[in-house]
Amino acid sequence: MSGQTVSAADLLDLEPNRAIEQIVDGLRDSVLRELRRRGAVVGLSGGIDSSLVAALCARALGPERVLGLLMPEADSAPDSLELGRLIAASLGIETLVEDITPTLTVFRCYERRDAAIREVIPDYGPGWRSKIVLPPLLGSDRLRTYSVVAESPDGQRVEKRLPASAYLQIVAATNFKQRTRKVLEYFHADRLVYAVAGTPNRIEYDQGFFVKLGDGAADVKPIAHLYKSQVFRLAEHLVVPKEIRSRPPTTDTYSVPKDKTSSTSPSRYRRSTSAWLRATADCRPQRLRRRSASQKRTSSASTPTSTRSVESPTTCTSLRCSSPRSSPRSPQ
Amino acid sequence: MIDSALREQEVRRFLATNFPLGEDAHGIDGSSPLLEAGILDSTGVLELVDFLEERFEIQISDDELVPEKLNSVDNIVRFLAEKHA
Repeated sequence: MSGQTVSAADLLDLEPNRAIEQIVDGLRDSVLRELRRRGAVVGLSGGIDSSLVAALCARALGPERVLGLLMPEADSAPDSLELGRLIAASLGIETLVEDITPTLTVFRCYERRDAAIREVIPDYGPGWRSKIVLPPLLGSDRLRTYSVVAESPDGQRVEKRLPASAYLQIVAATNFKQRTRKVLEYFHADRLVYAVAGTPNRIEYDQGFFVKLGDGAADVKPIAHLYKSQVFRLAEHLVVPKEIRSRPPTTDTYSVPKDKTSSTSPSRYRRSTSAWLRATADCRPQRLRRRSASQKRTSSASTPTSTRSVESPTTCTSLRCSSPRSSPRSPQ
Repeated sequence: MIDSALREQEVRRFLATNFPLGEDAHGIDGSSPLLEAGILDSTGVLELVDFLEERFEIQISDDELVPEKLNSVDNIVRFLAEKHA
């Protein structure tokens, strides 16, 4: 034992050029050689994670081999589209806009969600906005129960604790958004013979903060091993526009923006029963491989019987998926 | 009037029949924390609160959503007795 202490800042520090080159090398190897895909599709939310993934893909594959998909819906933040276009323009990648509102309407996403909210806020309807929150983690020993925060058209805010059935229906309805976006990403990936690049960072991945068959599904996840501070570091190094790097975090899922008074909206917290994309320390992008039938049976047997979503390796469609590298864990 | 033994029986039955690991609630020590034992999770707390409010005809405020009142069978039974006092 040397007796030396290492600070958290030191542990999280990384050398940007080296980290970027490792990811870029890994992306080339995964997408072009192993997956035999010609490029990558990235869903652009206007946030820093998807912007960094797009920048890494552009560097690895060339901007002409990256498609940025902009997929706004009725609850999207007004600046999401604009910031998505900004990063695409700065990278020189092609973009397509796929407004998913009509698809979500057909699924009755909004209708089902609003019906659940009306269980506790009867007046909730057109023109209202909402989000789900948990109480602050620090400074209170309160059990972490979910509430809905709703804002009326005239700006009045009301917060109500949710009964379990309403909470679960809001989450289930909202998950249509991530799943619809993923369907479109794979549509474009299939027609172009591209891979889908996922955008979860390490915090999201470790907590299971993604939706099964939604944003948790991808062929490669280039930043799944990076903590958020490292994401910011690499984004700055790759000259991701400041407007994106300084933007307050958003899931682009709920219509009321996140704030500092409550925890991040919990709908995307998921029990990560298959942390099969566990990040490695060598900064290589994560790649998915097909699991064997026996491994699938094991995963199925370990799936909780509750209604919460879990990530499943079967989401990697026709491409190769790997076996889980770690045991199930819960964000609780 | 429901006595404490009956309340405890109903709470244990609810836990046992509604949660994946609820079977453990039959034999769990009354003082064991339900969250740490994996019997309840955050969604389960919501379901427990719904059950207690409906079955025992009480209203549980946000301030009462604390471990001292809800995180063990003993605490729940004591809390119900307080609400019915």
